[in-house]
Amino acid sequence: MLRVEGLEVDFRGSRGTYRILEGVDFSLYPGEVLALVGETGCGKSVTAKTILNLIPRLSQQRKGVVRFDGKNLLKLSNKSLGRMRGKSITMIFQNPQSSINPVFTLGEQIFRLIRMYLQDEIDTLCRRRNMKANAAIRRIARDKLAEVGLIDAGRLLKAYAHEISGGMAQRYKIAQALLSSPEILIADEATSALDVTVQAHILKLLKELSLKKRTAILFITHDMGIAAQICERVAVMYSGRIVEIGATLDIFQKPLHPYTRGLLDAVPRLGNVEPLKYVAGMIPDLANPPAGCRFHPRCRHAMAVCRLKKPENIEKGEGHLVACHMYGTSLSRK
Amino acid sequence: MSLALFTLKRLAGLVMLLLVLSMLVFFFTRAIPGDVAALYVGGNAKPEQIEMARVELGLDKPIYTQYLRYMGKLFQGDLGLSLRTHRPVLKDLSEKIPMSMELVLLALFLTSLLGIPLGVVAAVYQGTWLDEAVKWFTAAAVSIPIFFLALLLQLIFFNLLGWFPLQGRLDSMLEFTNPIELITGFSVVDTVVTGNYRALFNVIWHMVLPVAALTMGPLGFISRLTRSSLLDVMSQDYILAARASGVSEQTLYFRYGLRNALSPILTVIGLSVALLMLNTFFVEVIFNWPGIGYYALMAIVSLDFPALMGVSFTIGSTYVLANTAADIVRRLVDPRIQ
Amino acid sequence: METLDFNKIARKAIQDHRNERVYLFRLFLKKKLAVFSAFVLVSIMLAAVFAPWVAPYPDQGKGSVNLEDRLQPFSRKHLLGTDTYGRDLLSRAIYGGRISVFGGFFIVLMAALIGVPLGLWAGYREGVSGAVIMRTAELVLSFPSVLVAMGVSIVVGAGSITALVALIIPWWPWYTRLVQGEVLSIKNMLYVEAAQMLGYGRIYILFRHLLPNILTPVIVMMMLDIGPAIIAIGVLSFLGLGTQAPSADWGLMVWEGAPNILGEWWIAIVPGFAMFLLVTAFNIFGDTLKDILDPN
Repeated sequence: MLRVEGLEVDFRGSRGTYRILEGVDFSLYPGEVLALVGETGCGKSVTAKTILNLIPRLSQQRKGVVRFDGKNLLKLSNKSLGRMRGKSITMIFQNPQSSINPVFTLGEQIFRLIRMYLQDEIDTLCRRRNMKANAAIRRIARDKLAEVGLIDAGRLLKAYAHEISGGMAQRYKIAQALLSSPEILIADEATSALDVTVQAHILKLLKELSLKKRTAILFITHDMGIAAQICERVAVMYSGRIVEIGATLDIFQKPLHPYTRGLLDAVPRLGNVEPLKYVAGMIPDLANPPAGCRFHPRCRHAMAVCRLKKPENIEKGEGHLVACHMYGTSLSRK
Repeated sequence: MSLALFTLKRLAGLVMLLLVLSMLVFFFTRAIPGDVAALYVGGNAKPEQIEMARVELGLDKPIYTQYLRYMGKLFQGDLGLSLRTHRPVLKDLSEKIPMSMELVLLALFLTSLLGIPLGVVAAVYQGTWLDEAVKWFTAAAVSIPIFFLALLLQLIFFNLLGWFPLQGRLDSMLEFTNPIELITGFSVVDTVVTGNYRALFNVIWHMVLPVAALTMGPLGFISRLTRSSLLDVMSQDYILAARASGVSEQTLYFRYGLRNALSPILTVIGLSVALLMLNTFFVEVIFNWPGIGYYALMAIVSLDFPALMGVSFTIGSTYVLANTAADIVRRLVDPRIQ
Repeated sequence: METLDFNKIARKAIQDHRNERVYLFRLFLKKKLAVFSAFVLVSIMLAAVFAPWVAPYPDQGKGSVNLEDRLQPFSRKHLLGTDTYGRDLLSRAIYGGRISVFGGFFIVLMAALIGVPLGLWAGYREGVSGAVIMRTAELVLSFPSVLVAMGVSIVVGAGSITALVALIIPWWPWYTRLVQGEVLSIKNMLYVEAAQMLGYGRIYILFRHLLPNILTPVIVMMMLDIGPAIIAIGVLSFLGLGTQAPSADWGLMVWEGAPNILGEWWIAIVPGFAMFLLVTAFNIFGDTLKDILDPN
């Protein structure tokens, strides 16, 4: 339903041009939960924001295709894209409390969205139950909040952002995001700022709602463990590129890309007395990225070709793609 | 804390400040070098006359008694008699203050009307030549000393171009043929109410240069503040979240952005009232506008203590009042303020 | 898996920091307006310092009259004309610049020297002494600064030194408030707590950890304050409460030239414009500095 092909994004910064994304490819199927996993700085947030064109246009160059609903989102005017935002594709962010406007009450903000997207429901309620518009809006708000587990709607609607907890705020944002029954919800590190127990609740909530409303979720995170919990497929990202993508089980049981393997090895396991493992080296300087495969300086299996050519996406099993020369049918195999 | 509690606290502080202000004003005027009694009586006065004047003015009593007398009268609204005009200071002030307030209010209005949109434009078109131009202009507007600007305006717009009058409130001829009846003291109001349209246009014509001089500084300041405040707000998370939920750019900037950015802007506008009141002093002197600034100048020159105290107290309390009001409004707009 | 080479990482970080300083300087150079304003500033300041050598008629600059050349417009003999007493305006302007430039620096420096330590104390120690400091600061801030300075000048007696000192009084609380706020927000940060736990003394923490972090906003405020300070000095002299005649002072000169504004307009306009130019240069310079040092 959403297909990203060859997405390239360059930023012109003070030290030159940064190539943040160098050819991102993936698909998101209706109703599925796809994880986009990677370290900080690998470009996962940029990918998400580029889909919705939320990055300020200043000094930005984009190439590639983002196909949705028969159109290329990258070529749409900001106005048309604006209509799609919040309606067909919505997004929630890492810091729920700072995502809420501090000078308006929670009620005011959600009422506004209801008026924007659920006009039919408002009309229906007014006619059938003979309610005034405001009362109808209020009723709808209560229902939507209850859906995400916020039951004390009366108090909540009058509260301000700084008066509620992180968990409540994120539930509120999820309620806002799912108001218009979007086809896609992008969750950008939506649980990273929450306590572990709250995290678990939110993840469960997202999964339930995804099933119920048949909304696809693009779940961005740096935590493989979280990805495993609710996601059906996982895409591993490194330095501007998807290096491996496949079903969750496949990725975890048969990781192909050296980076994926490194990430999985790094997860500490109970009862394991060995010293902690990690992936050596640092993420590349985006102004001067390594030639060829960007991971090769850190890769144990690096070959000569890795320094020269960018690996292609190679299919190794059903729906399991990896971008690595080890599996490639490239000419030189020294 | 709730709005009511906050307001109460601020009002209590206000009362305290006014008390301190009255003390400062009183002791300050007493500390000025110069013999009040001698000046009151005038030159060539015999010592006995000076002594009589001293007793009459209550200057023979110990200083704290004088202060208590002053405070007592203050509470009753009696600010004493002006030594120069020989009229109650309160009456003098009630006539002069509206004249100054006219200029101040008009300047404030223009500052907001022009300054805020200018700042918004600079913010929306950040980085473009428009933004640079605004930065240049506001940098200059903020840096120009008001007395210099007033003189410059006179030079250019009266001497060179002849577009506006040099000084005064009304053409001297009109003072005879169509004098403005004193009702509220606000020229614009009084002329409209009495149907004196000739005087109305003439007064407005006279007001242009003084108000322009007054507006320039605050205009530059408010523009910059609006720009930086708006840019600051637009970089916040909730703007990003709102954009992601489909809010249009226009709504984002005006309903969300401005509303959040308003808090510091309003405070500064409130503070500007006091700054403008101080600046009208210079503007009135240079443009010969009969307001409180001019009255204060006369009071200083003639060591007119009651008038001086009255003026100082008025200006001081306006400043303090404006600050308090600005604080309260800010709390109203932004619920996070403690 | 290999171990991380911490030495290599540390060395690279230090080198990046050095490069950053160069980078900031280059950034400054890129803004032509800022460079131009810096140029103006340096010229005026040099002229002020070397006034006796730069001014064409230093005596007239200091005040001696030259009645035969009164009220002359711009000419080759007197580049900026002469005033009502025949004194060369260019020289007067240069000499007047001394009070403005040095006075401006003086006021801001003293206000900072008084206000910053008070703010540090109030922010770090809190408690009763801190509260007293802050209430006093707020009290002073509640009253209009120019009026306060005027009041002091009138009572003590007018003069340039009096005016300068009088202006410090309403100025220091701004720094106290700024510093106290910064200290309060930094105080609770982890590295301060860590230092305390490790047993470092309070004074040490104050200087080694807190001071460098508040230095940037303080310097920015000082830079941006010099302009208003110069104008305040000008205001006081315009009212006759600052430098007394026959010394040269821009505010005083504007007052002296005001009656002739319709005829010999340069007498008032030259000093006024000089003030305008200097203050604008300071403001632009300060702004650019602020953009570079403190982009948030």
